[in-house]
Amino acid sequence: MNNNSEINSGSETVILGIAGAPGIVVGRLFVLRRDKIIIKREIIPQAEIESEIQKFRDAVNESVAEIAKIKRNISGKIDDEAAGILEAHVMSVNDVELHKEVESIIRKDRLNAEFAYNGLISKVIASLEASDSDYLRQRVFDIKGIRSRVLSNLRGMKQQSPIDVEVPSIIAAKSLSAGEVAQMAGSKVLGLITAAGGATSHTALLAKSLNIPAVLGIEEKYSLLKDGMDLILDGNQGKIILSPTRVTNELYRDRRRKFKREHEQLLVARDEPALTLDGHRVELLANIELISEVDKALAVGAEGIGLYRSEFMYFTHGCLPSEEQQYRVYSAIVKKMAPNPVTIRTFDLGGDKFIDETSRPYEQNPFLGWRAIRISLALPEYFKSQLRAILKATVHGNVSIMIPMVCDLSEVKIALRIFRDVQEELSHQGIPFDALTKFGVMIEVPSAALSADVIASHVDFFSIGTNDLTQYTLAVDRGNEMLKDLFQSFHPAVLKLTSMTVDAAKRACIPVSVCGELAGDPLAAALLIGFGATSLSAPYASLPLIKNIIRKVNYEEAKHLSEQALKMESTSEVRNLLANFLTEIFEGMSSPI
Amino acid sequence: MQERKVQVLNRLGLHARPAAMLVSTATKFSSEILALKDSIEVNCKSIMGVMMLAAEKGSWLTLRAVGEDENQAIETLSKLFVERFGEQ
Repeated sequence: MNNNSEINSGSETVILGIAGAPGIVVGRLFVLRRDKIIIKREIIPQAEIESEIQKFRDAVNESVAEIAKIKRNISGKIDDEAAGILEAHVMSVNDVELHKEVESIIRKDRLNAEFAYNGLISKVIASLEASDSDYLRQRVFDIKGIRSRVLSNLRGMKQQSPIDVEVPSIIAAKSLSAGEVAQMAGSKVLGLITAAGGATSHTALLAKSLNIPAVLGIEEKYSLLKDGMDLILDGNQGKIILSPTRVTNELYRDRRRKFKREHEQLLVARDEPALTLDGHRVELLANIELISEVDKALAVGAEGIGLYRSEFMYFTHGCLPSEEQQYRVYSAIVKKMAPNPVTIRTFDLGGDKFIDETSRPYEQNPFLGWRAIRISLALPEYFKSQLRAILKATVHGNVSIMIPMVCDLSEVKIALRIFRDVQEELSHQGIPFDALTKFGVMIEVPSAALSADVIASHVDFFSIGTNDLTQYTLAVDRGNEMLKDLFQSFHPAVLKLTSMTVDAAKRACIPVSVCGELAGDPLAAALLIGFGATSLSAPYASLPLIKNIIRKVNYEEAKHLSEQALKMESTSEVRNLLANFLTEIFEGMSSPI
Repeated sequence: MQERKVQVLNRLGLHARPAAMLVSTATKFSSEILALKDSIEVNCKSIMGVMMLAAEKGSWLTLRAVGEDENQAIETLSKLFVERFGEQ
């Protein structure tokens, strides 16, 4: 050991993982204990049978108390369905019939409680796993959770969860279930680290929505984490610094302050238009799923809703909402947003979005299968009732209708014919609606991008869905963690299709927006404007940053940037080009972290 | 002994919530109540048992009650199935 290591010490360790949720936190580590349970079969001496049974009863009571604690902690934050599930958990732990069986095994076969309990629960798991229903198969996860809770209590081991954190800490776990992350709302968790998980995992999405900085996917480096360590978690860069030196600490204290300040500064331009330095106007819109997001979108200065994912109403209702139910939701959103525009996308079901797992058709390639407009056209009555509900809501404000996943002109024509039929029907019935309601399509399939010029003259606008366009162009399943490195929205091929689509829209003089994740990516803002996108629609939280970038860019420079980007040969070249551009823009202001 | 065939009409099958409801209702009766599906026979007063049926939408179960209040038990429980356990 040399002298230096004790003073400024080279003792800090840097671990690189995946940036799960942005933000920087400094704190003490709390490693959640998740012991592996190995079940042994033991014969209980006659004299210890009663105490073995008592041990089992105590473990059950303790488990019930733990679930009750979770329920208390998250009450009010969850819906009835989730509360019902927790109630079922309590009942499952408290199952008297099951207890009788466990006790009879202990008594008659003189087997240990763990072995008896585990054996019975495993039978339940086996029958659920054999079920044809996806939904019931997924319940296995819950039952396994209950099993491990009871077994750890039997062993006197603790399976800690985020609510066990009593002083503000950064927590680490091998993996966290979505439910566990959801419990962190209002908890003492400052930041979180997991060994598993990627940037698009449930953990990342929930951490982002709860504003908890997260570094995920550190894998085998997880073993370096020890309870009580001081550390810095940098969720912007996906970096963890263990036992940081004083120098590093100071550096990060500054960065943290800067990050907070910049975040606040971003909102300064809230009421200013998204205007480039040379006066080119871009419309900034929000993507929403729930009506409650409208206010949040307005609070950060969104000029409208560029994408309302109507299928989420389907999920929150748990079944196909009636025309009347739909009308109520659409008009509420439209009224809240009026006079600003709202673009309602018709149900984009299928692929990875099904509510009714039991009626989900078996498909080898769901994303290439029965989804979105294909379902709407196959079930015209259901499509018509949605169009009627949207049209009826048009009297309350400024509404556009958007059709997801069209592949070619013939589909667009059929959808348009149905749209006209519905309009005629409403006129006949004397029901008022806005006859000038705009009808647009999403361009998110390569065939649609390649035929954008023929489609453009039939519709009122385009919206480019970059997530699906990337998935279909590169043949990379966007939900597949193994392929996450291949899912590249900045791939030159994706950019070419994007640029073709924008060009076709420009020639047909129709507006074109970008509404995928890319629209909210700071790296992409100047590029998309340079291509000629007239509006960007992104998750509301990213709008302030995007607006700030637009207000620092010259439109002419953005055009030049997009021309250069199209000449690049690889994703990394594109990213480098865009990163350099962004750094130049921010230079003199404050260097981006 | 009372016996009746019932069909699961709930969208997601006899999942956690309806299973919990079936069990808490069955527990109110003194009769012994069983549910049979295919070759599995479980106690209706045990949620783990009911979950074990893995009864998806459209599947048929046989409810069997033996005891003093067997008539009322079968009536009440079948009604839960018909009314989809209060779900849409």
